[in-house]
Amino acid sequence: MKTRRSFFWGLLAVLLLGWISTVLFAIDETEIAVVTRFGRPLPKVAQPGLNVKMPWPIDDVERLDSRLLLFDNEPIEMLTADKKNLLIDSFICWHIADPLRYTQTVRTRDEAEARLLDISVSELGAAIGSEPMDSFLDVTGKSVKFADISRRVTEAMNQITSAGFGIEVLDFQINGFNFPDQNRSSVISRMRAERSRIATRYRSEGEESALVIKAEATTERERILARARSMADSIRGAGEAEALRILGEAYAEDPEFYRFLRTLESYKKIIDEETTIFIESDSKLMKVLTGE
Amino acid sequence: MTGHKGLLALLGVFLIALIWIAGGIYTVQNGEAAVLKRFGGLQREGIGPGLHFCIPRPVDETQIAKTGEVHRIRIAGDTGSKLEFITGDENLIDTDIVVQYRISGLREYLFGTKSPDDVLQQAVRTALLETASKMKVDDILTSGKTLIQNEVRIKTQDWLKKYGTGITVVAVTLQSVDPPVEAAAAFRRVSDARAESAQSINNAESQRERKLSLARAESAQMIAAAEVEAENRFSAAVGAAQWFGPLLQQNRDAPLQTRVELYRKVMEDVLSKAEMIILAPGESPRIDVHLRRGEKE
Repeated sequence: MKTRRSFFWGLLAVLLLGWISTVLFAIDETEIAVVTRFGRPLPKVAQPGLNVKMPWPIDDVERLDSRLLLFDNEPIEMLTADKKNLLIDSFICWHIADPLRYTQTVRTRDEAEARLLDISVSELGAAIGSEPMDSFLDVTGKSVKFADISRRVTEAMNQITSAGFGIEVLDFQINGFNFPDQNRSSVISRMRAERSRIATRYRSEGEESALVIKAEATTERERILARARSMADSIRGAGEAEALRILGEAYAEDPEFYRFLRTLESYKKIIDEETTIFIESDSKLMKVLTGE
Repeated sequence: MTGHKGLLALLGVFLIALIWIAGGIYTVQNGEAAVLKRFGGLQREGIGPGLHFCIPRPVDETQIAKTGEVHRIRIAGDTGSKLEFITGDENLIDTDIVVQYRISGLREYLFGTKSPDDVLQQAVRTALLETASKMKVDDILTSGKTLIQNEVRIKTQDWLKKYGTGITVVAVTLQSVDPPVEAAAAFRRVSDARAESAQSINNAESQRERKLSLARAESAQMIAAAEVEAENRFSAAVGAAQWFGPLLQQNRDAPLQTRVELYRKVMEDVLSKAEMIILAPGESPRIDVHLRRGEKE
């Protein structure tokens, strides 16, 4: 009997202690919490650390993630202003800015993200649809529009979400921009065609350059040879001049005798086995020959 | 009996307390840092390496991360293993990106963002997209790799800072940059064509070198020959002058005799070879024969 009663009191004490402990609650550094009194949220938001509330069942705690959250949208097909079909992938960085409003409107992360998806898709669709393809892909050095669109969509989303759901969108970013699968093969074949055109260009440019080089080589060769020829001529000429000078100096002493010798030399050169000479019988030569 | 039992209970309580307290001992290794939370709230941060003590659970809790280490993640595509992106001139490129990062703000890393690594992944893809959309495929495949790496690193870092992830990007590396497999052959043909073109230019250059060196050799030969000729001519002149000197002397001493002697000698030589026809004085030679060399009758 006595043991039974002490058991009862013990049990009561434990239950009481348990009940009182519902007054205290710990909130993690990654969290933020809304305390609800009979289901109605209290204005004061519980911060990380040890917090106090009224015991169960008066107050209840609803914990929320206070961190920056990432929502990765599924790729969506969209049309540009010039009716090009694109597959666009995006992500949203957001966090809960107003826990009270958040708990009153969306409650769960899935629901919040469903809202974010809806809003971002309609904003993004409008933004993409108002720009031609060239606004996104451009090699002429104009700044492409991704950053613009990202800013535009972020702002537009915030206008709806911050007042409406207590959500702050830090950033909306496009992180995938590609042709849909059904267009891929045509893109690939265009790439191939472009490559073969480039290959042909390289080849013909190479041939052209080679031809130019060869032609230049021929010209250069002629120039070198012409220069050498004229140099050889002038060397030869200088030699000749020198020779003539020496001979001239020597022969100047008796020009008439020189002429005589030259004539004899010429005879030697001119007359050979195939020469026929006609001699008048009273010529000087005949006289020499006949010894007259 | 009861005293003994009480002592045993006391010992038990003491032991349990000791074990509980021992749970508050923790070590932080070299290259790591820790934060201390009390009832979930941040109590201390920047706890460095060494042996530390805290109030055991459920009061205190520590979180340790490797802040000294450089972490690596690979950025993958949606499907398949490669990340595909589109260039400014509407070409597709497959790539493999590896990002190296450090945890520079432990508090932000642990509590600021739900999944910092995922945010990093997404940010890198956005940075790549924006960078590549301004570039030509040829630049990306050749010289543009470094440019992309730098720009992606800077952009990613900017965003991560804005989001408060506590991550510092150390390096962004494009491990491979290739056209899609379906178009790879076409791209190879371009590089083949480029090599071929360089080859034919090279060949032309070497032909040209050969041609020019031959021409230079030929011209050297020409000049040498001219020099020899000039030399010969000069020597001949000197010889002739030397030959003429003594004759001159002789001629001065006995003019007629010298001349007749010389004349006779030449005529002997010459006339011994040639055919000779002697004409009467005043007779004109009737040359109706073909006086062509080698056609004597």
